[in-house]
Amino acid sequence: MAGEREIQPSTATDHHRRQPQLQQKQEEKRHRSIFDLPSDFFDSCRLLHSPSSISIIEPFDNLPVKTLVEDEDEQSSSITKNNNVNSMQRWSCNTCKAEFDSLQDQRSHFKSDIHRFNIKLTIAGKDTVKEEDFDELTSDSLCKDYDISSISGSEEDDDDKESSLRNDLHRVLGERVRNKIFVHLRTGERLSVWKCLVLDESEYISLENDRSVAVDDGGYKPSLTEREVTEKLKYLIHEPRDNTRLRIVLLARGGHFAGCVFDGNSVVAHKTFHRYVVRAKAGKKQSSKDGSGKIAHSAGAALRRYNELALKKDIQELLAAWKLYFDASSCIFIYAPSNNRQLFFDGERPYVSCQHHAVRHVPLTVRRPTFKEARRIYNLLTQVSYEIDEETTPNIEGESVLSASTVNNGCPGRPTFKEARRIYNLLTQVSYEIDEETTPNIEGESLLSASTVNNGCPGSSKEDLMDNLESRKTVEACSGVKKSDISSESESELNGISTPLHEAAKSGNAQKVLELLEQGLDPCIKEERGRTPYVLATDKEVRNTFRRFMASNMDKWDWHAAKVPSALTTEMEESQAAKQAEKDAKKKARSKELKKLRKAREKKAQAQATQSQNDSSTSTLALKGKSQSSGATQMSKEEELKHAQAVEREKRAAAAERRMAAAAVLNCQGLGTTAAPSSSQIKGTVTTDIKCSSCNVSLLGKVPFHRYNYKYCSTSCMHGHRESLEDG
Amino acid sequence: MATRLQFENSCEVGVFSKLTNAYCLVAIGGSENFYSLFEGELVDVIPVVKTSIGGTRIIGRLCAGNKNGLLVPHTTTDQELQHLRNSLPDQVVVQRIEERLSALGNCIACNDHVALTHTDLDRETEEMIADVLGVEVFRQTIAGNILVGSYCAFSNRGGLVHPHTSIEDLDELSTLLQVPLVAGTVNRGSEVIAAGLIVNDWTAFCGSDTTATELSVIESVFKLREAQPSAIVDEMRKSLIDSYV
Repeated sequence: MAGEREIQPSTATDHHRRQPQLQQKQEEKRHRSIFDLPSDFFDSCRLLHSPSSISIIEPFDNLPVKTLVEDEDEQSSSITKNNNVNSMQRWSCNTCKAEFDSLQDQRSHFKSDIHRFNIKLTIAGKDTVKEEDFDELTSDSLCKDYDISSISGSEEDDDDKESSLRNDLHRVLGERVRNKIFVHLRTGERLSVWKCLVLDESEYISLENDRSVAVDDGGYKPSLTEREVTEKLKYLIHEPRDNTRLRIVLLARGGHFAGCVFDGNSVVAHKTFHRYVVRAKAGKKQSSKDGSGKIAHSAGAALRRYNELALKKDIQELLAAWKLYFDASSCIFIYAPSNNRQLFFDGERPYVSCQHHAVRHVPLTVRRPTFKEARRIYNLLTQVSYEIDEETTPNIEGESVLSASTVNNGCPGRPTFKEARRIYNLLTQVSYEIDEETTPNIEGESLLSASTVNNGCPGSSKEDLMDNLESRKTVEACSGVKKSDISSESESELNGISTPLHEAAKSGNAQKVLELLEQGLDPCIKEERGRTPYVLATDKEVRNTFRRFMASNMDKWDWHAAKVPSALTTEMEESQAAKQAEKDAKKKARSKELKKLRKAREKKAQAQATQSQNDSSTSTLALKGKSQSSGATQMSKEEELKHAQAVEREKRAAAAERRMAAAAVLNCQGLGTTAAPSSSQIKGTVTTDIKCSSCNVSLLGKVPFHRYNYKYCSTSCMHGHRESLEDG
Repeated sequence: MATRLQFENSCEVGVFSKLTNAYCLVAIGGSENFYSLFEGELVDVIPVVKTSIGGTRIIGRLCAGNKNGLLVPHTTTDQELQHLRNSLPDQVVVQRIEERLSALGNCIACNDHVALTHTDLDRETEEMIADVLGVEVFRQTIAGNILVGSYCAFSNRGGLVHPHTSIEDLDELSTLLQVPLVAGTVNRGSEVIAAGLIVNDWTAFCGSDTTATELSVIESVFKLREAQPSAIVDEMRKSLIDSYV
């Protein structure tokens, strides 16, 4: 933390003090903080609904950075010379090639961001930067230029950053118009300010010349007139800097929290927390995982649960400690996506309150919440950025604003940096080509802003940029389009916004694609990621639409640039259809054959099954019968079967007879002399064993009397038998 | 005096043990000989604690500490943490930190006053190091190596750094840390200093491969020999000095 405190936010005024004299004039026109503006800046300004051109974005300025790097190279080489002379200097930093007056200085340097950053550069095999340069550069441009993921030891992934950068651009492109206020100054310059800096989210500007919007929104939002907004802007730059009009940025995401209190451009207080709450690899916070139903009982899960609570407690304690600041704050910027919101809000009511209850959301992409990020966000939010401002002639006619900027590339103005940048911006902007005369279907209240590029060649046409702001989704393109004459070098640089053609191609709407192509939308236009509509098409039919259109309009567009591989003529299609039909026929024939084959196989299998059945039935027969049946092959199957059954029946009958005869013999033997008729009932059981030893009557069902091994039916039998034995 | 020893036939004793001025940690499961060598040297002075960290024996590479505190990585289990808290002296703060780079021993080199750290450590971790260990934290590399904890070992009296450290870097580091530094090796030429050597203000333990030359460099830079004569004088005073009554 100590390191961070040392670097004050670099203000724009610092910035151009260091610039060479030559650049100074241009530098004044660069983005700067709203708090550095002269107090009469917003006098007699008026609000605009949109910038003249959408695609002019300059989040990073590459050119000044390059010059700085060159400077630094020279300086560093001179310093290395110095170092060689007196390398025994005690207080030094060899990594940053710096020397210090005292141990204190040296130690504080070793804790600073620049030192850490230079170490990273050295490890990556790159040149180090000087402290002066470091202050000026934002971390963004540093990371970008030097390919270092981040200065602090943050765990941000490189690709993550890439995507976030790109997202930043996307969002800026898309939401800029919605989230910014465009101001036309008395001097003819136009600039933009983030809406959330001056307005609450519920507040809404109503411009006199913009009736459609008011109708759309039903008019239930508190709307501000132009005058009120300009009053607010003026008040903003007249604000006293005495810690009574603080602005607070609170960022929270993924267990990281950063809070920062600003007064104008200076930091009053800041604090960051980090707790381990996000599940490693799996991602997401533990609470969201728990919310999904399955509750883990691991030590890690418990740790994360505890940490989530602890983070919330930390934050609330901090917010309570900062009550003084909150009381003095004029607005609070909050970034807390999804369930991070509960860190700051109790239901709908925020835990914090400021005098105006102005809690606003950050309309930018926010990276990992750190102090640096909070500062970056704040600097961006308070920035006044200049729109393209020269030779623009805002042309307000009735209810539509038509603004056109004309550039003549054939004879550019002074070859200044600004001019170069302006031309570059114009070249990189993607334009719909619409003939001005043929725009009858644009509603009166819709807004048309067009910029015309004249490339200097005699046959060049006008390119008009049409942007219907309020009815974005239903862009009504116009027919009667002239051919593009954008020169090849500008084409190579084309990158920018997606057209309705992109949308249609992406959604797979072939009909719409054809319609749009016929209306003359350029298929060569690349969207933000450099893909043409053809590349975006997911559906074959859509691609064929492109190719068909290419066949019929071979020379209308540069189809190579549109990435459409080849034309699809009707002959080709016919031949393809014929081929397909042939293929189909072949396939059909083959499937038929296969079916036949399968049927035959099935039949065979069935026959085999019946055969095996017969075999099994006959196998029970005697060998004779078998030989008989095998001998009678000439007989029909049924006869054979009948015969077999008959034989079997006979056999069974014979067997039964044999069995009965055997039983009869057994009975006769078993009954012996007694020949009791009841004995037939107990035939087949073990009756022969259990009989009275004296009278020979069966003992079944009785409890016999035992004496030695003899069993008797009654005691009299027993006595009789004993006596007879004793006598005998 | 520096002692030569082995952990289960490995000379990287710094991997399996941690020595500070207030305590000594020894890995569980080593032969009793390893443990008893520490006991023999250190008993009566500082506690020798057998422990594991996160279930592993490479405790020397996973934790960082000095007489004020001990930092353990987030992989440390609750039982281990409890065991450490119970075993270490009360004034030693044991803190588990949530840092992506969990081999804290490799990322942090410290004595009781200053610490060198890996450049990628989180800011929160840096604050924690400063608070728990009571040190000033500097982010630095040793001879271009980002793992400062592995390539140097220093006490309050001196330090040994990677053999490829340049003279300028050596000067710069020794002014920064305010201890005399020497570039050298351990374990018969190993440049991973901290793996082969653990040291505090009065004693050192190094791998059994350490040569006599290396040992003499270690003893001289850490000023271990100076402690010795006074001890000898104290112990042998009776026999050395004749007393006339």
